[in-house]
Amino acid sequence: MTIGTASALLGGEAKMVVTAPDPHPATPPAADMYTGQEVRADRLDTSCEFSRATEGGVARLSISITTMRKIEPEFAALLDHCGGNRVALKGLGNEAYRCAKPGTEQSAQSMIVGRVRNRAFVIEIALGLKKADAAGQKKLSEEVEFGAEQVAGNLF
Amino acid sequence: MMMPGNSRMCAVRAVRLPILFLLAGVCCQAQTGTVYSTDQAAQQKLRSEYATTIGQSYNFAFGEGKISAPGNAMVEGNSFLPAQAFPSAEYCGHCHQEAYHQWQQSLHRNAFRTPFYRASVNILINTRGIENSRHCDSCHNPIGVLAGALTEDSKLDRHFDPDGLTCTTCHSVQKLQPALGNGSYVMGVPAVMVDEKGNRMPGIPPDGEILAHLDRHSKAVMQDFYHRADFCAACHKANIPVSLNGYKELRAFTTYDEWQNSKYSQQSPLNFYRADYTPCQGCHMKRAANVLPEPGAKNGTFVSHRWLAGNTAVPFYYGLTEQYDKTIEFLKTGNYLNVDIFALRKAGTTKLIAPLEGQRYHLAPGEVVQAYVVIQNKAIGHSLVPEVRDLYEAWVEFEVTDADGHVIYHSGFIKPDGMLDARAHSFTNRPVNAQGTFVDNHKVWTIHSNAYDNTITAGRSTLVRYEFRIPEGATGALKLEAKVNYRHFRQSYLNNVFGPDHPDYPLVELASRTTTINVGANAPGSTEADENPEWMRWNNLGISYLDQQQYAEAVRAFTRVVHLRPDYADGYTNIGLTEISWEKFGSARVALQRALRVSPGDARATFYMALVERREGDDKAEIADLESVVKQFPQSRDARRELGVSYYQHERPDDALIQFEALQGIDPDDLAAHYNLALLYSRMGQKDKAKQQIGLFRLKKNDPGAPTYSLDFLRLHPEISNESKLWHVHSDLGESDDHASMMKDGQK
Repeated sequence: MTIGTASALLGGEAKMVVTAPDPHPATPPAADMYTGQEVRADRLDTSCEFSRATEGGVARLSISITTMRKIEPEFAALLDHCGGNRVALKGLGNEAYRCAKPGTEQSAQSMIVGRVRNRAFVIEIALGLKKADAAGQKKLSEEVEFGAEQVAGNLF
Repeated sequence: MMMPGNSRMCAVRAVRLPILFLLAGVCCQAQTGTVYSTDQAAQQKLRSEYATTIGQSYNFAFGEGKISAPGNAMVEGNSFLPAQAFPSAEYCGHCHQEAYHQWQQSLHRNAFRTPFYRASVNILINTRGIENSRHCDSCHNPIGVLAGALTEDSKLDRHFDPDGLTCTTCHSVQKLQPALGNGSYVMGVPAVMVDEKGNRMPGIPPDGEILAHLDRHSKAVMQDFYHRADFCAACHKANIPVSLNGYKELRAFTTYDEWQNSKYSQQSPLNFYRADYTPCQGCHMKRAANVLPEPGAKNGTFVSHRWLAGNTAVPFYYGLTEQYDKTIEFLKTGNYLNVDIFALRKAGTTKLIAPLEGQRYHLAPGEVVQAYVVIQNKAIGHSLVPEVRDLYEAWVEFEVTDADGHVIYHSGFIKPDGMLDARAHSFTNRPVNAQGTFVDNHKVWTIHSNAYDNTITAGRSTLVRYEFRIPEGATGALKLEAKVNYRHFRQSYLNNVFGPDHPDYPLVELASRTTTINVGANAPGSTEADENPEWMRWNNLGISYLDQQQYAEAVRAFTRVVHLRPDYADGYTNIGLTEISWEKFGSARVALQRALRVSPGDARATFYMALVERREGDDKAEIADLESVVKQFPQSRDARRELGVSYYQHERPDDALIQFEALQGIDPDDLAAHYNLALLYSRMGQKDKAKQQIGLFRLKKNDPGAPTYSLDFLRLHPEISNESKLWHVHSDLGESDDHASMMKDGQK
């Protein structure tokens, strides 16, 4: 995701912190086993956090990518972090679910957990505010979905 | 003027709202970066500042100033255009509700975001660098290209990505380049209005201004060429330039040229059948009653912005049920193909039992028979399957069952893993790389040759032969069923995109035919009501034989046509052109003269007569006839080419030049035009032009070594190797009895 896209999602200029493995790992992950494509170092498992200070606090957009060796149990484990109200989303990766982390139900926050082939992604926007009205929450969900599509699109 | 269905003015909407502003209840902002203004100088300054900023970090890998290379997209002013300059589809949709509703589900909208596209373009980006994807995104994501987003470490906001070809990409194209494809348009700065003098006014005006000057709104967003096929050619024609593959300029696909050569363009005299003029829009943007308010509608109907065609995969993936249902309906009700189980032939004989329903014949248990299935591309203005048929699957499924439903023979089945029977008769191709390996995953920059390419071009037919043995002890009726099936995409590509765990993607039956034969005596029966008339069935068989270079059989089939239709000039012309194919010019002349007696001045017959006259050395008649054809069909590339050759051979270089330049205007990639123009310019002392043309010829002509890559592939894939033979038999009988019989006869 570009810094420009993330900034637009957070409502203004954001800072970015990327946590990536050593670009020359001793044992590279078994990524893209379906396409057989050698994975570039900057496409390995990564976490990105974008943040922007606002009047209400700090708005954050976080993205993490992990490569699963056994899809079913590992993806199920990721979804377990999701909390009760999980909504399946159509047309996003191989599969994707919108959910909220337990304890964040009263915050302006939205999260999507999904996967493209054997690569799981989690994207979350937390605005550092109290939960918005229905229209605001809907808009937030739409923006997280857009962000998830950006991530999934790059993983395909 | 009130817009239909609206009793109040539409509210002005911002393009996209930052979340926090919305949450705080702040009113709409005008979109940033583009202010609605008549001040051209101020607009230019804003754009120039943007372009300068982007240009500082943009990778001009393919030449300074070339923002879209290796694609062909051009923009007025030839500098970057901010994404915000393009009003969003949502904005257009606040008035044009029907258009917006349809567009949202269309392939044009989804041109960039779909996993099927992203999977292949990501490979290009990951292996060659994002700058190479400007080739693809000149068509799939023009805003991305023109905004300068396709460069390493771009910091641009990509909120335009999901909208692919948004309204204001097509509706801002101001001019068309020569039909090169790969985005051969000239984009203007988007504008919803022009001023009183006709100058485009970027930005979003108040709705009231649009309503008060609808003519100026129309002038800003409409062009005459939007109704023409050459508009579609800007993207529905693609090549792989040498800057992308480091090899040669290769033609990828050219749906536009297929249409231009088809009966629907009415620009070529050489088609087997005739039709009313129908551009791409005539089939893919049909008018229908609009359900939602739509100011662009006329008399309650609106040209479809769904662009219905063959793509079932995208609406299936996104759950776009309306688009999906309408796509299926489009494919199944268009009567695009005719499937004809036309004949049987018993092994060891040459006699055709044809047309099958009209004959009296006997079949015995244990006999080996061949079924002749003729598939006609009846009503498609391009090939089956067009464009990237390395990714799609269309094939013939043929099945023979007995009265109890037991399968006697089956070709073209789907295996349990979802893969198609490898020996099916498929309308597909196999592009291969320099190692002779099938280029999977659409890695087009590695393609060096096409090992196999099977299609039915517009208006033509193909004969598919299936051989099976009637079981010993069989009695009663046998059902023969032939279908043309279609799946978007092929199973192995879907596996590449999603991994193996994906749902079954839709399989659509495009056309089918069923007939019953009896073990024992068969009496003449009736033909199905929707079958072609008999003369056309023989004509289609003749066309199939001709394309499979079985010239004697083709002449026999066309002779049946003229026996049934002595008034049908094209029947005689078909005999004539077949005789030309195997150099029986005397016989060709007789047939063509007959055609011209039936239809004096007929351009098709005249064209082929000119070729006979050339062979006979009658240059005056040859040139006169070709001039007559060009006069009737000035956009016929074949007529222009042959007349150019005639002039050249008879020392009329100025006249030849006119023809080859016209030919190049019709198809900028025509090899004969490049070659002959190089010679002519050189003779005329125009050295620079000659050098340019010969350079283009060398770039585009086939690599003589390319077939070796194909041979490597075919050696390793006998199922495709068999299919690549011009005519072949599908059989489970090993070396067929028919083949053994023919070999034995040959040794006598």
